[in-house]
Amino acid sequence: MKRFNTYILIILLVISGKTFAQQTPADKQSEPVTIVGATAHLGNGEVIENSLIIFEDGVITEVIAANLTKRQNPGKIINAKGKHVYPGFIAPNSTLGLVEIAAVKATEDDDEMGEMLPNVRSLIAYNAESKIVESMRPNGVLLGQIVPRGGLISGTSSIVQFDAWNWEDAVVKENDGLHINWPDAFRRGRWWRDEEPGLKANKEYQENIQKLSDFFTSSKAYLAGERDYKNLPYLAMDSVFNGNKKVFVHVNGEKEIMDVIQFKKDHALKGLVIVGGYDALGVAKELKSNDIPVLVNRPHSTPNKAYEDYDYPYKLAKLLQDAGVLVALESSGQMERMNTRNLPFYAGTVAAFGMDKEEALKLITSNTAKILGIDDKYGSLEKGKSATLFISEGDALDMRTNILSHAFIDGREVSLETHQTELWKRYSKKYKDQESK
Amino acid sequence: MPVTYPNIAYGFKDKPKQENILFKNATVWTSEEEGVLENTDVLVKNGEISRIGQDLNAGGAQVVDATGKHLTAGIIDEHSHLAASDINEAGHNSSAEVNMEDVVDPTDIGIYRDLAGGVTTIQLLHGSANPIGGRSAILKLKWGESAEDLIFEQAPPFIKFALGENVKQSNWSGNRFPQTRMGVEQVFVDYFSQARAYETEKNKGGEDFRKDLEMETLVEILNGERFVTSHSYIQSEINMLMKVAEQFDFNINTFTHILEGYKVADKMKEHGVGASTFSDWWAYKYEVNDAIPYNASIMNDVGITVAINSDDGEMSRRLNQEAAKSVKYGGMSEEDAWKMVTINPAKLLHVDDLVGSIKTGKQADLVLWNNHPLSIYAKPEKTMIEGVVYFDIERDEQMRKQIREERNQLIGQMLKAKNNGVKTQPVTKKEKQHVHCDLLEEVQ
Amino acid sequence: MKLKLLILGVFLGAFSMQAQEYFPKNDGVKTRNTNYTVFKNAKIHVDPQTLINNGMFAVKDGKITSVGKSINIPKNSIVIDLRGKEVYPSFIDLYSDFGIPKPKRAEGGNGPQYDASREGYYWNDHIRPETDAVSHFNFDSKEAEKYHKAGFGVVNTHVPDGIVRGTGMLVALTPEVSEGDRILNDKSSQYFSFDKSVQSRQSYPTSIMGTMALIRQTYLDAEWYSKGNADNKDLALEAFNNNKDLVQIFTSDNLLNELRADKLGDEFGVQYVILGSGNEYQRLDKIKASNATYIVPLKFPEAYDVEDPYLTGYLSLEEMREWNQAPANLKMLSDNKVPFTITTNSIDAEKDFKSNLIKAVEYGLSKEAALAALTTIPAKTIGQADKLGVIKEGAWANFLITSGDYFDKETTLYENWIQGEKKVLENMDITNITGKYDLKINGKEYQLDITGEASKPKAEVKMENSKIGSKLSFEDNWMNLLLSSPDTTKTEFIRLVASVPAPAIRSQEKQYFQMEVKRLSRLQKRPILKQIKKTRIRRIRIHLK
Repeated sequence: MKRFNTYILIILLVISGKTFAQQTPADKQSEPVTIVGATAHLGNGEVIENSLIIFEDGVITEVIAANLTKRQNPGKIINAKGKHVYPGFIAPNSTLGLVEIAAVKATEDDDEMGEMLPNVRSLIAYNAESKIVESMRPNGVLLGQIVPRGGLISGTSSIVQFDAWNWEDAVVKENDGLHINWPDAFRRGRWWRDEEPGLKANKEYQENIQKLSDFFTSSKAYLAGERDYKNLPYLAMDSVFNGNKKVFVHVNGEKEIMDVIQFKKDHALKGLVIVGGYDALGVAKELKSNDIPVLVNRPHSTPNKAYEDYDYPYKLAKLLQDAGVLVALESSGQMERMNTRNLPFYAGTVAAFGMDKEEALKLITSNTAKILGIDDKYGSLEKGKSATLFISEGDALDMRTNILSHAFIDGREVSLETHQTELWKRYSKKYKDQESK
Repeated sequence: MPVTYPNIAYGFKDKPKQENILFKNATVWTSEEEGVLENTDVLVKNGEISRIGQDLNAGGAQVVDATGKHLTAGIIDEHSHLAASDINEAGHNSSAEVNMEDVVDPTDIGIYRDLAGGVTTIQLLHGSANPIGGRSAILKLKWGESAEDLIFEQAPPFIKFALGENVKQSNWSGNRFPQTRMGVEQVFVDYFSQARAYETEKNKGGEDFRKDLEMETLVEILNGERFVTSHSYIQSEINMLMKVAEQFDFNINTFTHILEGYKVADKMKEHGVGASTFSDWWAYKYEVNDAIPYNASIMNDVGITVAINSDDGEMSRRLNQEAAKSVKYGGMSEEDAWKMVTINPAKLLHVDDLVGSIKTGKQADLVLWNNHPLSIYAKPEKTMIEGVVYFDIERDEQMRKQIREERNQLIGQMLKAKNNGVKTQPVTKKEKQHVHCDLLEEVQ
Repeated sequence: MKLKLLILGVFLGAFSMQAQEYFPKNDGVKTRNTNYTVFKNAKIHVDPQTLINNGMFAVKDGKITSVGKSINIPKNSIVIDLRGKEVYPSFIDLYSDFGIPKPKRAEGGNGPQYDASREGYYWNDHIRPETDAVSHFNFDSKEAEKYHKAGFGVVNTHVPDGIVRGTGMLVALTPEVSEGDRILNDKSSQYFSFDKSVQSRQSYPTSIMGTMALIRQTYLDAEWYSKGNADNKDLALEAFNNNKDLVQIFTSDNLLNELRADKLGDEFGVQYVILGSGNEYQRLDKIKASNATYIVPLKFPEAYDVEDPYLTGYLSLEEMREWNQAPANLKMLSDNKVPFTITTNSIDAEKDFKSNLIKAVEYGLSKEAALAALTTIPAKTIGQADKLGVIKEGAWANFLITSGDYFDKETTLYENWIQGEKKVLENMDITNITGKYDLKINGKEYQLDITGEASKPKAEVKMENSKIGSKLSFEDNWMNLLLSSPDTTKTEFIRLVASVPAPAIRSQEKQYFQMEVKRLSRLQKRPILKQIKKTRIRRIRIHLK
């Protein structure tokens, strides 16, 4: 009976996908675009009032104060006086496109069975037409790192932009990161083995770290050899050791982070990033000296312990940055996919609790780009970078004023309509028509 | 170590007292017709809002300079599961006999964090495991008081109903009637019919009348003495419940969650029901497929009383931001948006004569913000209930220091004890629990 | 079966120790103890407020017949001298499951069970007022001994299963008698709790508020049933109604539930006696306002292992504070005049009871209040005031004989008398042989130092400041001392044996020793030692023949 229902559900979803049309991805940029008069938040800490932004063929060619140049403004001109322009926001550590509805297992593609899965790739399971992905754009979130979950080594992520026909068109950086879920130093008491409930120190912690370490060592050894036998997991580790694939370690506890730092040294890993970092403050110095950035978990969470400051998660990013660590925000956790559209407001909260607004902006733009390794093209409004940006009525970090009129990805003007805006317009019209009758 | 109330971090050693305070020169969000008043003073005396005006005389009151700051009514969260020891009675498909007022837990740190976010009143609702749930408890977040003293005495009785996937046990295996939405309607019709019959029996008098707590509650609903707030998602079930209620001559008071409310807003307006919704949650269950963040704006435009709720301990303390989202989604005016977390939920809970706005004679449930209350940059500096300042950002700073010192002291004592050979037990970490409508275990 | 017959026999006459008087006897002639036992020169704690120094009291047929500074000693009395010792009324534990086997868990099944599994009873399986402790009871001597060692004489036991648990019974822990004699009240109380019965898988209630609603409905239904309104027979409700006038005890394990239990009781005009959590100090005003008597466990949280700083971060302030504050709980209850009794429930009676009690006293609980919580208050609560918990005329002969102030760590509990039957825990006539002695054996001089408790002395032997290996054992007033030879080249031992005479001729000052010296190679006759004063060093001459 259940199976039957699941099939019905899948059919329904497919049908519904057709009735509520997905927005058509935008065409390549055909003519230059000039945005005149807006306040440009460059994303690297600078602001240019009354700016002039020009981009052609998907690349920004000019970002300056309007009064510094008298040149003719080419192409399509958008008068944005009184408005604000931002670089497209980047959402790291996301499962957007991998799961459509959390309660419906058939739509879940984020967690493969097995422990060591570096060869499992998120990119090819990414649904570029997901309704949820689509809903990110009207809030200014234009790029994301799509990450598998589960196991000890979850798999390999890729970075995509959010306006595409298919995953092939969406990809910005393929296979950018290996994701590891660092073992927990605490384990839940197994009641069926008559252990007490609650989390106790995990005796298998050391064992699990050793497992991980051995895997790295074995794969290195394998890769040094002839590779006659195709060992897929080990092969996927190749790019880790030659520096092309960064290692993202999902870890929160202070002691565990110390172990991670040691792990990095032991295996001479070039690019290592901490994801989560709730208790990273105590080891911030070591993180700084070892060049390990942190993707801080969403500020809109409650503190873990009752005695912690009520605003601890709000200000964690700032505290880490003050200690010299390179920090960006990520939004994983409860309802993580749909909540990713609130990414700008997470930055806003960090600004509310002590950080300068333009610095807070970096946490979702240039810092993220640096950490993900895409800062050559994305993350700030600078000449030569991709024209991935948007125009907002006001401060994009504040709910009231994050109202987009235009958004561009690689110079293409993308649709800001979604399944949700359609329903809104349809029903608003219904009531307006009723009233006038 | 002295005992604090409650005896956890941030408890009060000496409970704060009622004070007379004059807030000077604030931007006052009345949530009334007067709208937003600039450079205005508000005098709080004996737990009430005594005067609103300009250049008021303090009398003996303590003066707080609120220049550049905003003063608003305390936020009211219509749908919360904070401060409870238990959420769901899932043993029967109707549990109208249970009462959330029995299981209030005054030691939940979530209360303190809510105060730090500007919330002063919450409705503690039964979970959504059953079509007919339990009676709710409306609480004032008076941190430090005992369970009984948190209860908002003057609030009328309420009860939680639920529709949607949870009551038909879609997301966990079950063999309990109902298993489809069709069955859900029958549950309501059945119980209300029984209630009518019970009422007739009761009125007859008679020695052999058996008092049944469940039926008593249902009869109260039929007679409009107890108000219904119903967890609901899709339009078919929203309409169904309204029709069932009309069939039995009573009104549904509030639909909560009501994510497809915008689709039947006209019918809701006709029935006279209010709406309490999330700002932007969706995509977690199939039934929220058509949930849109414009829901609140559409319903508000049609003329329904709309409130924004949290159903979540984390969002509860940022309800001001959640309300602000309707300015973005749907272009609601700022004043209307602010009403959604103050006077509108007060109206839905029928306590709007006592709280929910800044009006002389109402209880002094106020919040002083350092910035525009709908702004992401706003932080509450003082949160007051009936004239008692339960949260003060400066006091919070001091408490943090005290807590650090106390922890160090106690740790030192324990180390000493261990050195003296005293037996010790290992530290266990408590797992963070997400307390929502569908939690079936006891709250840790 | 046998037990039920006995109950019939015992019925109201539970006080009669001659219960077996009318039983036929087939293994000998009928005998009865008609003598009095009289204790004199004792420091008697008559009740927590009254103390008689050098008093005396008499016991016959399990009861105390008279007590005072000096009483009339009947001719047929055995007189026991308790000089230097103290007498306390023995303790009463109101919350126990002593002698009751663990209830059997219901077997698992497919999916939740919504209906009741019993017929002829209430619609909810977790309401079990028809359960009675008496029919499940079996005296467990090993368990009883734990209570004896902690000083308890009477417990109120029940079947610890269900939301309404049925009746509890008051039973004396008298060893070596029949059940009929022990049971003081077969239906003394009715127990409630917030926990469902393990014997049923019925789903409802799954929550605390459901449990409270269920209890309310039970009260209403019981009243309705009592008016004869039901068409069916409901044995559970009948039992519930029959139990109405008993002492109602509510089990809980956390502070919030205690207050909730009291709220329930107040709604129906019932004042519960509430099993507490040990955390009452956190809301003293509400606890006091509840007017309930609390049965408080003596369980204190252990210190946490905070050596690992990372782990320590996870320890909450609440937990740390409780460790620091909980031992003062009883003091605070006492200061605020909240009536409470103490139970050994949830701790190991043998190991931790006394030490925790002393800790509570260290934290400020007055000895008087502690004693009252163990004697007079539980007696009053369970309806046995002046019959239990006091040393008064007409009360049961339940008392303790100790070597001194009970609340002193060093004090030994010698004997625990229950219903006039003696249970010896430590031999109180053990001579205290601690002290310093000079030994002269074979022309060599040794210094013997005996320290430690009277019943467990330890010896240290030196000869001219070099230590000699020795082993001392002292049992039943016989002392064996083994010394290794001072000459380390030879593997020789010296064995000394001595008997310490009975207390009848003992005085506090002087002790007599007789020692027999045996050498491995030669056996000698027994010499006689001279009188030795306790703390003075005397010469010991050993004559070898």
